[in-house]
Amino acid sequence: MRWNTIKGLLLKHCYTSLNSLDRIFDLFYWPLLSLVLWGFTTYYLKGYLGNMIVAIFIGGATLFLFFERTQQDISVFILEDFWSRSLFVLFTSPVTATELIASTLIFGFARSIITLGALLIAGSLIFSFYLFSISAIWVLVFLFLLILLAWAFSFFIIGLVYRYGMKIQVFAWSITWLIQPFSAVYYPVASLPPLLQKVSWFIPLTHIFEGFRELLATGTIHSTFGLWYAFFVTIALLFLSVLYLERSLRKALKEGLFVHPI
Amino acid sequence: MGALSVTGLVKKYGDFTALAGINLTVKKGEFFGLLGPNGAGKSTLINIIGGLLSYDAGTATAFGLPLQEVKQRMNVVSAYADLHSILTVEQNLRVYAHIYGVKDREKKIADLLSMFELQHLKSKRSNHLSSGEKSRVMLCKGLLNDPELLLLDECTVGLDPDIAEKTRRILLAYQQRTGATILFTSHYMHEVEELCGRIAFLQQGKILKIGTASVLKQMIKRQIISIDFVKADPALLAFLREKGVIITHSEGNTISFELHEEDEKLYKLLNRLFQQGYKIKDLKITKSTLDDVFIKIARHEI
Ligand SMILES: Nc1ncnc2c1ncn2[C@@H]1O[C@H](COP(=O)(O)OP(=O)(O)OP(=O)(O)O)[C@@H](O)[C@H]1O
Ligand SMILES: [Mg+2]
Repeated sequence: MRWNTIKGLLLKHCYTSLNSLDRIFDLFYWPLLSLVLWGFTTYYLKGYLGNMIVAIFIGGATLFLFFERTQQDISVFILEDFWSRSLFVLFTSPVTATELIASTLIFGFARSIITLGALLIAGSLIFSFYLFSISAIWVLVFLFLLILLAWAFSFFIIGLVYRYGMKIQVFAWSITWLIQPFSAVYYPVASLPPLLQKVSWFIPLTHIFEGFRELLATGTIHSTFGLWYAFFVTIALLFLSVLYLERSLRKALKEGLFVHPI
Repeated sequence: MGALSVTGLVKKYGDFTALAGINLTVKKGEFFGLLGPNGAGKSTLINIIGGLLSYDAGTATAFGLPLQEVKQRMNVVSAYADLHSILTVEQNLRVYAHIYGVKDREKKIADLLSMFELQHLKSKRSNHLSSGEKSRVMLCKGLLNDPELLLLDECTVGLDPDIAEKTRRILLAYQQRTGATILFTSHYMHEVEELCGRIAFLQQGKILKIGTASVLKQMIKRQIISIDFVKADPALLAFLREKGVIITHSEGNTISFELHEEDEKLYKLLNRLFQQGYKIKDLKITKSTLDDVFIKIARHEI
């Protein structure tokens, strides 16, 4: 990896972010809109269900929106080259796939931290909810796991994009929504039908959100097995998605996707 | 060692063979032309060298190294590619100046913008440029890293005659100043003739001929002679036909005809005409052009 190239690509992402209203909206508008919606809903329900409901929903929303933002951002910045029809210029330049992905990860990470900051500020100002006061260490563990998982999903999406072109771009947005219902983000696994419970326990996200609720309820996490499971499955997914991405890239070079983007 | 060396290069798309075993060596400092009809495989060859496409058989190296390792010393310009549409011209060039590791970036960008008369457009978003403006920005990008190997795929498409002429001058000057190797495709024969030394003619993924423009033109041993006589009469036409001349056009006192083979024959013919007492006011010889050669090769007539 060459630092020059990474710097050039980061500059490109910066300009893209600054020049495009969409990319600015991504950072603040959608995450904050979701947070505020969840926030007011739970504020209304608080009267019936107690204070815990606010923490479960706003905390859950903050973590999930952070995950969603990280995943979508990386895919979107790869798709950006398809939309702006600049694949030819990009791939004839000395940029390697590793540099391209690395720059996107670095930039996506910075952007998701900005979104997280906005969510935390909004949570504390509007709803007096302080995520890190629950347990800074565990929250950092959750965020770490969520980033890794978001990257695994992104690599898979980028692999799909390099294989099938823009026609599958809808996945870049919808993949998190697809798994959300089965990931026990806002409700415990126990509230799912028995068959779906089995599915749910396979998904690393489930263990993170179950862990989060346990932390809220008891102030600590008694068994770390679930989180270790989430970690190892995420690592396996990362490995597989990188493999898939690499194969897709080879296919793209073979079929001329970067010459005639579809 | 050639600047570019390609042997037995094959590129397939499923059952379709886009390149069927290309052998080509381009020497360092050559301005090399690639000609051929639509779909011949010119862009495919350029895209493979540029690193956009993989290939199925054969080898391709630049400066004796695998293509992947020389991308920094290379640049590719295609009329059909775009820069990042939501970035301005200057932002695009700055990004690629970083990527190509250009030293003294801002000066280089300013120089190139003024060379291609684009200073006034530097803050314009790339997707708002006219096609000719876009082509020029692409050429700026192409010269950012002072490439030792420059691949130009129809890079002059959409340029007005004035800018096209300036662009050709810039390219020739660049090549002479740096000794760069340039691979050039264009469907404008006069450009190819003006710029290129050797030319390869591609068709259906194969190289049919390689040579300089004058060598290629000699493959057509035909010229059009147009003579303006003081007085042309039917007897003159009959006389010419008798000498085996193919008359292509006859109007008033002007007669045009095709003459094959060497000049000596024209000399003999003129001698005969003088002996017969025909007086000549004006004479024009049109030699075959690269266009003629292109058409003949493409139609398998030579
Ligand atoms: N992705 C692809 N899948 C299938 N066939 C392709 C693909 N890309 C190019 N081809 C075919 O390969 C052949 C060579 O195309 P190429 O673009 O190299 O032609 P060219 O010589 O540059 O023509 P032109 O003068 O029109 O630019 C064409 O017949 C084209 O249809
Ligand atoms: Mg072409």
